[in-house]
Amino acid sequence: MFGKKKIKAAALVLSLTMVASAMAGCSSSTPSSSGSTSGSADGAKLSFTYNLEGKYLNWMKDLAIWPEMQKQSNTDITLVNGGDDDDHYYQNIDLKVSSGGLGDAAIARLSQVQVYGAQGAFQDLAPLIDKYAPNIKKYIDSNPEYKSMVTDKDGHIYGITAEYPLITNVTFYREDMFKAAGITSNPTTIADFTKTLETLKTKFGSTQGYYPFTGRDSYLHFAECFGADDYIDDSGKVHGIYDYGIGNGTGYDVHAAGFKDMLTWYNQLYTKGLIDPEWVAGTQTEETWQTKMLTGKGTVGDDFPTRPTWFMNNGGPSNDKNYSIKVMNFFKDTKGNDIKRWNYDATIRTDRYLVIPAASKNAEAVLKFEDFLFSDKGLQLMHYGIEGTTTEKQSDGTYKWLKDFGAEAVKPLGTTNYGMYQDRLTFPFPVDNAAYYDSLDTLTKSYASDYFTKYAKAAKPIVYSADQQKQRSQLLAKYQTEFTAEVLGFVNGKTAINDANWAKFLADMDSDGYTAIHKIDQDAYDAMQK
Amino acid sequence: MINQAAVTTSQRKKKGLLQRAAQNLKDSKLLWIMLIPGLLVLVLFKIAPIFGIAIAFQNYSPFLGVFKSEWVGFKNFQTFLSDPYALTLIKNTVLLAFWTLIFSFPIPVVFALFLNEVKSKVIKTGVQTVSFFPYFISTAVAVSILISFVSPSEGLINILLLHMGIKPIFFMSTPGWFIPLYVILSVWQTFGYNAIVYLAAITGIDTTLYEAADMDGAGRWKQMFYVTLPSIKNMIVTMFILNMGSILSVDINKVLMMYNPSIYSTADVLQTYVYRMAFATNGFPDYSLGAAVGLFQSVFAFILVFATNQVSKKFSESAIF
Repeated sequence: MFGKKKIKAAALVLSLTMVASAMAGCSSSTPSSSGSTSGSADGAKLSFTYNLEGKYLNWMKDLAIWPEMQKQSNTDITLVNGGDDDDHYYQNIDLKVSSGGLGDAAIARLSQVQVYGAQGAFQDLAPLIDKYAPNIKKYIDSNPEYKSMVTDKDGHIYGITAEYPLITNVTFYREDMFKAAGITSNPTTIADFTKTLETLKTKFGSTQGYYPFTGRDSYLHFAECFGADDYIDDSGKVHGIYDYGIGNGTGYDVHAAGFKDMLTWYNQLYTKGLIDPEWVAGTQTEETWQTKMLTGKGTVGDDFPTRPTWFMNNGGPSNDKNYSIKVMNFFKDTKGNDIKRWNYDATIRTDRYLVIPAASKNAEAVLKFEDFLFSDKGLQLMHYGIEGTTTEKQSDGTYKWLKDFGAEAVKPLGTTNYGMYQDRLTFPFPVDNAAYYDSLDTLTKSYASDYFTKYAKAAKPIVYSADQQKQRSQLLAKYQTEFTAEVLGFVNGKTAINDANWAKFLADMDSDGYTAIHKIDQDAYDAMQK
Repeated sequence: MINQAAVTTSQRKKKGLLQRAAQNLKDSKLLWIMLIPGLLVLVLFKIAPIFGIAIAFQNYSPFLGVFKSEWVGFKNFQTFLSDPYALTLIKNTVLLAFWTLIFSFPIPVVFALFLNEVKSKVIKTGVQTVSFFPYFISTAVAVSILISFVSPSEGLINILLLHMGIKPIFFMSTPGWFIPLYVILSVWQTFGYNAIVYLAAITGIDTTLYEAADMDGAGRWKQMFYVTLPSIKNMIVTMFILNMGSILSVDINKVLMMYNPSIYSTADVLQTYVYRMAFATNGFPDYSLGAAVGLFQSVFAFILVFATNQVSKKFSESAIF
């Protein structure tokens, strides 16, 4: 049928195709830095490629501000999907750093910046900032905390980092359920709060699975009210295992007297059925928590400040016309003083460093674009959006917002979005808290400025050396499990809170890593002050 | 003279062998060409990565690569093995794998034996297809289904328990329930798929053996025990030896999705601990430590496979190598 030669040729082609297919899997799909051209002369359009997480890339494509950022800076930026979610993206950095697939600029974690920067994978930006970025230089020089986060001990700058607005968790409640339970005033102290939860339990306790206080992730909230929080005081002393006051997991001062009081309080809540046991056990998913808050199996939560809006927009009033969520003031101490809360996340981020790979030929373009974002014109764009479209500058210097950010926030992907998302834009630039609070949806905006001005406090930044970070991670791997398990024992009553058990708990924590981790934290902070 | 003759014979044999190999190569040129892609894949993706084991003895940096990263000897192994918590982790890992093996290994065999006895082809194919489905459900979805079933507030099982007057059980946060739930989920996901191997082996049994057994008066049960089971014995032993190799390998995705602070005492296994140690969110990824623990597991698994193979060879005359 077929000639022998034809069969041979077909077999050869088939084999070569298979070889080529196998080899194709090894090649990089990231556009190379040499593929883009940039001009350095004044007035010439600059261009570069930028590696970022896929989820941010999709958001940025929709943002009306994104083409405006390029237009005003006279830059053409090619966004490159470096991996869809956080873990995938940062793992890809490790892969691409060796293959040269990072393009002209990328986001990296502080630990990657430290290690790869020192090994020569990223360009030292210090001389380049001196040459091309006067606004960035000015900002770094006038912000010692920011400077300490971007400069290594030898003065190298391997990356500049993004900032995060100063926001905290807010304590919110189902207003309709408060009314139904006859609660006419919000609790002002922890003791009051306990009574409020008891009243709610009495009213709604007959509902199967009802627990007034519910949530997601770690349940140990309000450490500030007990003096059990982790922080760095004005004298530079680190309290607890430092986690920027976020307290999500292990960041508490177990040796503070208040920590025992806090666990005693949580044990009281647990015993009386005032706190959701699924939450305490760590088995609550985000979906089950949301369902409980929407269906009346929970009344009070303490979470991200836009959460009340989420509940109002996702089934709250559409299923129950009386459904209403309000935010309560944070608690006062026993002397009637306001207590301040720590930031929701570090205000100087450790996971959003913009780096320029050593192979990039477009460092000038990247830095000139970044410098635009640090300039007055750039900041106005990043904080208030497009003049005439997003905002209108008033004669007194204030801004009038022209868009409904509540409507923008729920727009589907693929549609133009006029929202201002200072916390989501990946490029570093100085954040303006007031503008950020003002650009939130109507409900969040109604309390954001007052709440955060009154209660929010920013934790001091801390930088670990690569060795310290490695040791800390190894210690935390064990400490985290032991801490969580032993604390859970106290809270759910399996371990009685008495002197003997408490002394054993503290001894266990110290031997499981508390002392060593605390020492690393203190050493790291001290090193930053030198 | 004798020695010279021996050398000449050996040389002749060698030459003959080379000639035969060359002739073979020439005769089967096309086949050899077609083998190249497979060989390349084998070398590139299976054999070459073995040399990556070197990073277990380094302070590895992906940027510096294997050749420039700092050598640290056995430091990574020491870090792991000197940790008193390692014993707990090994115990948890082995227990989890042991109970998984105890249930997930025999159930497909039993299932295949019984399914083989079903005479209706429609029912047989239907049951096999349905049993096969869970294998294609991702671990994330499977764990979500499990969580929905056992949820203390909304789960079907707890609703049933409540109707029977029993207080809801916090399955997912009770340390004692972790292993049973993990095993049940594993068996549900894999028994249909694993049974295919045995069903295939059963299909290959000579039907005259059944006819002979039938003539000898053997009923269905006796045929199953005295014909089917011995006929697939070698396959069972082979699969058992292979399963022994994975005694320290648990499904980390499943564990990560199922575990929570309440059940760390039974659910924290080697892989989860190393994951936390080496790949902490804020830390620089410690690939070397991960590789060291992986190598430790592989050596342990190899010893187990080898030992099981030897035992099997001695007592059942069935072995892989």
